[in-house]
Amino acid sequence: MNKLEREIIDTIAEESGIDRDDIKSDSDLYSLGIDSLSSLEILALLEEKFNIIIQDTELKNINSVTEIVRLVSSKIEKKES
Amino acid sequence: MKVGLMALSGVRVRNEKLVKLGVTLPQFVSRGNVIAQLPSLSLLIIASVTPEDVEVDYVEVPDVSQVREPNPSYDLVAITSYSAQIHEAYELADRYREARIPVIMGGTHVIAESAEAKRHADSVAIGEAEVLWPKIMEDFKDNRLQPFYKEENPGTYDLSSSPIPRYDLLATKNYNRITVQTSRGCPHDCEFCAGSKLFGQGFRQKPAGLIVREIEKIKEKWPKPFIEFADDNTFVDKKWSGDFLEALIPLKVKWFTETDISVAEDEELLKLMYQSGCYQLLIGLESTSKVSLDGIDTHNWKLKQRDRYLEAVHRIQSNGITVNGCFVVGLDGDTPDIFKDIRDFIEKSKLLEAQVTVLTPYPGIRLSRRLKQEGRLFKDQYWDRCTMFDLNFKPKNMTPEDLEKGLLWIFGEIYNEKEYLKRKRHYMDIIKTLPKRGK
Repeated sequence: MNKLEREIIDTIAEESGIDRDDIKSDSDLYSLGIDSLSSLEILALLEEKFNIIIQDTELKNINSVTEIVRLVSSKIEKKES
Repeated sequence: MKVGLMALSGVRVRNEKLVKLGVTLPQFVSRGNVIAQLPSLSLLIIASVTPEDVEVDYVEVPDVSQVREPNPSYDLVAITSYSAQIHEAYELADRYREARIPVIMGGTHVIAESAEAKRHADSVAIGEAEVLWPKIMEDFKDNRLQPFYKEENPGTYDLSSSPIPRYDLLATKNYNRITVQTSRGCPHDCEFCAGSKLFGQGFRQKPAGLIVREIEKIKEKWPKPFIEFADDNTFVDKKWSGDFLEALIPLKVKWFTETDISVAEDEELLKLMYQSGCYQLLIGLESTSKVSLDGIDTHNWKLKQRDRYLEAVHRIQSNGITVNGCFVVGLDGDTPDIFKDIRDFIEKSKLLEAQVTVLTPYPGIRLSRRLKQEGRLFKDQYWDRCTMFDLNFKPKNMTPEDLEKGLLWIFGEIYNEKEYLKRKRHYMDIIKTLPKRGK
């Protein structure tokens, strides 16, 4: 698990109140008890934390921790390039 | 002794075109799934007033055709169902009775159609479980079940005496949302309301402390629960509301409820809702048309609110609470223009979610009596089509074909992915302007 993944998982744990150890890189959000509205709050928090903007079309199919990590890392890469 | 407590579960839609379209629409599917996965609170309440020496089984029946044979370990079965699934409930009841296992039926449909239900049950419960079930159990043990058990003074049961529902009967992994009831009834008396009057006319609330104890019980099983308050109108009494929300904050739960648009008038209340974990309010806006709103409730309360709808939705959502705006089509004032009007309102108001349903004459309500008198019901018996998505009567100012066409059109407009994602993005922008919940 890289630093970014760890930070994202920390944010999910902080926002959802779920124990950090219960959140794995490949965890499905719904199985963790994170519904659609909670996931939007997590994404809003990640936008602020990493100073990125997620487009509405990119909110499609964000159903797992892996997908959040992929989205956020692609946004950071784009910003840095 | 063992009692099987059974509820027909899931959402039903008979209109094939709508079924075909609906499954391709993410928001439609999403809310349908949430509803289908909610536990049956009435069964959990029945279980809580069952004598301790009686074993109870909690059973949800999503599809009666999948029930192979009656469970022979039951001495008694209690079945509840909404109108749309009542024929499936009757089939289940008939099978248990054929197996010589007595059946009790209850619930909103059965209250309205008790004689019909009696043909499929040994006893019919007409009223609230807390009042009737202990007597039913006592009579069953003494082998003297009565054909009907009717609550003497409906709507007078004191909710402060409510037992804590038996949440322990639910399998933890099967539920993402848990239902809690804070109140029964609603003061608005809408002609089409199927839920708020069948258990009596009054509006009754539980004390905040009792609700807190229920949620604490839930947290023993689900440490971070999402609570769906199973109310008709939670925030009627603003003083109670403040006390209740203050008591909710330390519990750190997320929650959803149904209420009316008046909550938008109280900024402090909205802030407390957000802080206490409110994610969504489901609000019956009913219509964008003043002609259609005229006369839907006894005091024309909803018509009087219409001019404030846009501002009210904005104010609630600006406080970090999403609104699921509910609209009913097929009202007497509706013309084929209503579909575009509602679509435009949803777009302009940026409602995160919207629910458009067809006016439904449920058995036993004022609307069905009026439509029957006016000779507008398609059939006398149409319970399996009481789905809120199927038309059962002749609309006043449009043809049935206009209504079906309009419904399919508006579903495609408001539930398509592109529009839904735009509204989600709007919610994220709001959240970023607010402090974290619980602060």
